[in-house]
Amino acid sequence: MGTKILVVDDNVDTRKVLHHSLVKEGYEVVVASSGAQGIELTKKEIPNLIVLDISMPSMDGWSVAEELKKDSATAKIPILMLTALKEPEAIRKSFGSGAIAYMSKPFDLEKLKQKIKYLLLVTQQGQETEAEK
Amino acid sequence: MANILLVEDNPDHAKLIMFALRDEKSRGDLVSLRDEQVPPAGGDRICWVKDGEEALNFLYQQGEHQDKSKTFRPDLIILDLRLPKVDGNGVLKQVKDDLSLKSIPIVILSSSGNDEEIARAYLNGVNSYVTKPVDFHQFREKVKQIKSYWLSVCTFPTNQK
Repeated sequence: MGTKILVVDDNVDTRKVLHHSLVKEGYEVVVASSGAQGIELTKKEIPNLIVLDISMPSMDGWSVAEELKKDSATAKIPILMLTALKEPEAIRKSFGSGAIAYMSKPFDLEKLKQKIKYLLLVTQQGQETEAEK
Repeated sequence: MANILLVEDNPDHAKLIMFALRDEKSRGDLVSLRDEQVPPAGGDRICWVKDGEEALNFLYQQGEHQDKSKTFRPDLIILDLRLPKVDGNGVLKQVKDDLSLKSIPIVILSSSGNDEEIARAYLNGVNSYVTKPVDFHQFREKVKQIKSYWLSVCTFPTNQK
């Protein structure tokens, strides 16, 4: 089975760029344009990683992360927060809501791809060790 | 050719540490983001930030450190404990909570030898806790040892930069 990544961002350009470049890396990519759709797709698809934008209308990334952490089926899916916010408080809040990594916008695509690759490596290793027990 | 982030609010200590870091054989060059120096090819890059908030902004390339050409992922973070805005423990916890930054070694260089503070730092995941010697030469030696251990002796994953 391939590695599945869910991209949640209300910005269509970000969705397109990420979809295109992550598919090129060999991942299966699912996109959502709102927080609510992000939650719905997470439950349906159970991705290996979620790239989650913070500032979205109606439901922001922090609320999405909190929702996902409440459900045991989705609680362990690693979340990378992506944000254009500039307040230092945003970092603390993101990790408080359950993110495991954080990156500010505008992002360097190469760095983001590398970060995703590394996060998948370490989180999947963790899951394997747990399964062995 | 290592990237070092130095978080220190005391300018005298910062200068001393940077002097010791640069003194190592491959005389690196100081990059202070304030005087807009371009990092020279081949040398170590050292960025000195003055408080915890600025350190986080540097690591996440936001706020005053939005310019991505002037930031780097550090190979080593030398961190003071008592800092304005966000203190050393705040920075430490944040980096160790972030799976993509967690493997960056953090060395706390503090004037405090308080047992409670030392224990807390290790609980928060610090890699080494080093007290600042009063003697100038000892201070320089310690900084050199830190650099040599974390940047030459140890091996780290390469695919995460």
